[in-house]
Amino acid sequence: MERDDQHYVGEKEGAGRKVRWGMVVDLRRCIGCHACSVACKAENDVPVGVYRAWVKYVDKGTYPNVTRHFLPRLCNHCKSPSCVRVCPTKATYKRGDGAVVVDNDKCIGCRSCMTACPYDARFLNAVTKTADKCTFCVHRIEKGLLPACVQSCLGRARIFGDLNDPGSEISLYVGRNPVKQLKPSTGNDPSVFYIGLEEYVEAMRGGVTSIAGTEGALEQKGVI
Amino acid sequence: MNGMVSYNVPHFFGEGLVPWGMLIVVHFFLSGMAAGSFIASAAASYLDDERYKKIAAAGAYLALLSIIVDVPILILDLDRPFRFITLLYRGSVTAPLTWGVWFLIGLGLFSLLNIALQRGVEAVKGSKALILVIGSVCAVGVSAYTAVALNVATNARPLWSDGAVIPVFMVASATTGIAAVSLAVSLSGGRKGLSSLNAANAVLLLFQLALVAFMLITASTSSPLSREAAGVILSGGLSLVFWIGLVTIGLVIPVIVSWSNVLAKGAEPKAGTTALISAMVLVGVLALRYIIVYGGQIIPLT
Repeated sequence: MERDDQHYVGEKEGAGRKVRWGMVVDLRRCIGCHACSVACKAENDVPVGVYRAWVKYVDKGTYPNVTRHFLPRLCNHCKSPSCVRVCPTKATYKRGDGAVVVDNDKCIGCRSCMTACPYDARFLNAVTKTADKCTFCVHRIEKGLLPACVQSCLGRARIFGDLNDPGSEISLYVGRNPVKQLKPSTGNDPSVFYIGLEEYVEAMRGGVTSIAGTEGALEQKGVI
Repeated sequence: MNGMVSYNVPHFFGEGLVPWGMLIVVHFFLSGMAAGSFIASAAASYLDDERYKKIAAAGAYLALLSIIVDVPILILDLDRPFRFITLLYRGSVTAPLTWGVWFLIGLGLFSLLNIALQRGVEAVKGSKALILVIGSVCAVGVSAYTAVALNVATNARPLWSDGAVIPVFMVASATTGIAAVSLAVSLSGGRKGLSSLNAANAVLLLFQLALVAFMLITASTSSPLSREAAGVILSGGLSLVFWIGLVTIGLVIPVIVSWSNVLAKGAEPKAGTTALISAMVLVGVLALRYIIVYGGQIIPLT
């Protein structure tokens, strides 16, 4: 796959450099169509009632001056994931490429990871009786394909690639745009970044233009 | 006007749907009882083998009994209970549950040895100090595990991430053990040594009261998420359990009665009163575990 290929996600492991998969969600481009949620459900056979990827809506204002803001959510594949630390059987682990995954054969269903995740990204799969969450579609990445949510995104709001490759689209995106992580104060250091989170936060707060000084509070409240 | 969340799919939301439910509350309660009972037994045995014979024996049996009930509850809580055994050979050292399981096994083993010790089995008499010290280390480990299991969740959950949860749960384990031993001794008709147990719990319950107040004051004045959790406890869905179960039944009445016994000096307290107050302390600690376990999860994170 070449760099000018629209599906180029970064270089494979090699040349003394490790891959670190990451995602940027450009909220300016998200139209809240749920194509990502549906594609993820279909690709990963996610049971009814639970989601590996979903979109949160926030409405602001009163009719007729109403705006709707979207926040696509998924596992943040943190650099320092608290779910991995608390897993007693090493069923949840971080792969060399940065993806945090669950080994269904090792999970005992103690739900420690669910209490430790600050993002509510995990749920109990009623079919497998084990912890479940987004895997960055590692089964697709390994075959050179994009994750299902990225592939299906109509507005190209999701950019996926190797954060360690300075030439990848995601690295260029992160370099050229102000990106933010969700709840940075937890110290988990997510690999999922957002562009335009300020507007979403403003919507949650109801029309106040500046978020300076209040970010921490909103973030603690689970807003960002 | 604040923005309104018009669509969201939180996986865990509200009292009815939390990752850790009632079985974990009971597991923490029984683990604390096992740890506290063993330490009460070890202290009694160390201080005065003759005077506190009944207390030492009751503590030894209660510790083992609590573990025998406790471990199946922990296993039952797993969604893959038959994989429990993998904890023993695949355990991750960074996970509190791994440590908790090993400490529980150790405590069970040393409780068994302590029972032999209290029954005067010759083979273990020479190792009294070793049994009591290593068993107590396991007991402290079990007690600490119940708190660290919550506290380790970084900044994920309100109440749990405050350091206060660790001393609160440690003291709660001690009061549970002492109350359980007092209950057993007084129900068996004995009164010898009850005044010492009463005095110990009089002090510990004051500590517990202060620590709970400290924890809630800290939560009420910190992040919005913690404030919300404190609100649920003080005046929301958990307030009845808090004010009636913990504060009134579990703390204020036992503190008043136990301190009046301490101040009366001399005579051993009445067995009936001790049994009632001990049962109230146990109800209070169960309420405390419930409030903290649920209080940390009741506020949606997304």
